[in-house]
Amino acid sequence: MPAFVPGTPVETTEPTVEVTVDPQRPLPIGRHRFQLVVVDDSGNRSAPDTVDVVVRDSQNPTAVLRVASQVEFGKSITLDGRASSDVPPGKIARYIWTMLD
Amino acid sequence: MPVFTPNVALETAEPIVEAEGAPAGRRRFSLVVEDEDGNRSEPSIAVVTVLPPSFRVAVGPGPVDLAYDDRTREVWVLNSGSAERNRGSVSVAGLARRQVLATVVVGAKPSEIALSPAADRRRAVAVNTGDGTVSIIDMQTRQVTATVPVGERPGAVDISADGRWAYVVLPAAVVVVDLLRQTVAKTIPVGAQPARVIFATNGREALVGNSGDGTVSVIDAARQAVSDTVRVGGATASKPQEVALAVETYPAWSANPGNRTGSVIQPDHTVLDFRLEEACAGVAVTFDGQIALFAGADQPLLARVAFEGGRPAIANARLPAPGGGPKGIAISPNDAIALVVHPETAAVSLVTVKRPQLIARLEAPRGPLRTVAAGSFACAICQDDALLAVDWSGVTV
Repeated sequence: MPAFVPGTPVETTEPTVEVTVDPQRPLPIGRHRFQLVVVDDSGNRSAPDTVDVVVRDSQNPTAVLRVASQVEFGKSITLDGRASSDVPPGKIARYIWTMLD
Repeated sequence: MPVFTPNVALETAEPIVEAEGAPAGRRRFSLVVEDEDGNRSEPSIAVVTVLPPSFRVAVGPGPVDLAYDDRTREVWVLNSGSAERNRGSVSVAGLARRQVLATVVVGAKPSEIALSPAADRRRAVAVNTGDGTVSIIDMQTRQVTATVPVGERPGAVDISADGRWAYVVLPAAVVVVDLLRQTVAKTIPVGAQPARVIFATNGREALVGNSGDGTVSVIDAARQAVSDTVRVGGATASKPQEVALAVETYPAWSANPGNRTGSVIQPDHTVLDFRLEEACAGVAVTFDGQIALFAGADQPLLARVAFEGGRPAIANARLPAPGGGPKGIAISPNDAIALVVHPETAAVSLVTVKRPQLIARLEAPRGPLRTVAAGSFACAICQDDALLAVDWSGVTV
């Protein structure tokens, strides 16, 4: 099972792969995006497809922010935090949003 | 709906918020949630691309080249014509009014257009490959003042800084056209299969990329003769396709798809060649010539090459354009952003120059062909007979 390093592609000839998680260095809490590009036998590459995996905090709430990948200029941007969660039986009381840049 | 200010947090009790007024470009947002006991989460960060505004102007039929007049803020689009029409035309499109202001009929199967950079007696030159002529156009009256035979299969063209001379590429030579007398003044032998000619803005030299023998001919503009011939790519088969110049001429850059190399040419005409990951046929340079962007000929690669401490440093980016490489690049006046066109896919890409990174990908139906920097816009001609103008002035990176 390969160990993934952010930004470093792993190539396989099989269509499924298991992500190795080092117990000493688990994936950080939050959302992790994985990308797949496929290449045919002529060297043609596909557009990338992505999927998000959320590692939830076992002690504190976990924020998950979802937003469209692109929007038209002048249109509003929907920021969606509904996938966020708290450790049961807690409940989320506040959402704190920041535009970083 | 709230307007977000960078790094100023907004708190809500609801899990959804609509943000307004974000500038064009890649925007990062952060969400932290807090439960009833005051426990806070780690931030979750997401990126959204706010597409820059753009518009389209109908041109054509058959746009093949374009050039920008920064004095009038007009884009001159050269149209090859349709199967029914034997002659091409030029659509003069005004960016402020977003429409074609004038149409000029030229010769058969035109392929390239150049605009005089001079301040007065301004002329445009359209190369009519189909009938071996050039059309000289008065840029003020938008009338063809002369049609000058130059020889068989003319191709690339550029106009000297003083607006007096047009250099037109033929299969084995460069023809000098006197735009004042509207005649052929001279023929300058250059290398084999010249593909591109470009004048230095200082008017002293013109460079010709010779794809047939892997050389660049340096023409002394005062003598109108070749003063030097330099080998690029280190091989006869390097096939230089595109030469780009800094504002002060040097360093000059050459894209050599024949052997997957690029070259940088110094003021003393010494050449430094470097290998590229893919064959690149297009190149554009920043104002000072210290950074060049190379476009992959068949693969969606963009290579940023910076000339640092006498050596080229290369950073590559793979653009999301499966099925075809970028063919044309234009760099914004502030050297921060580039527009890349992908003819085989229906898209243009906006990328950062500092690190070749995708900012936005805009749909461009029926394949964009060529692009030019047009002040606050990046313009591209598209195969559906349209000029696409993308406002890159407000894009922050």
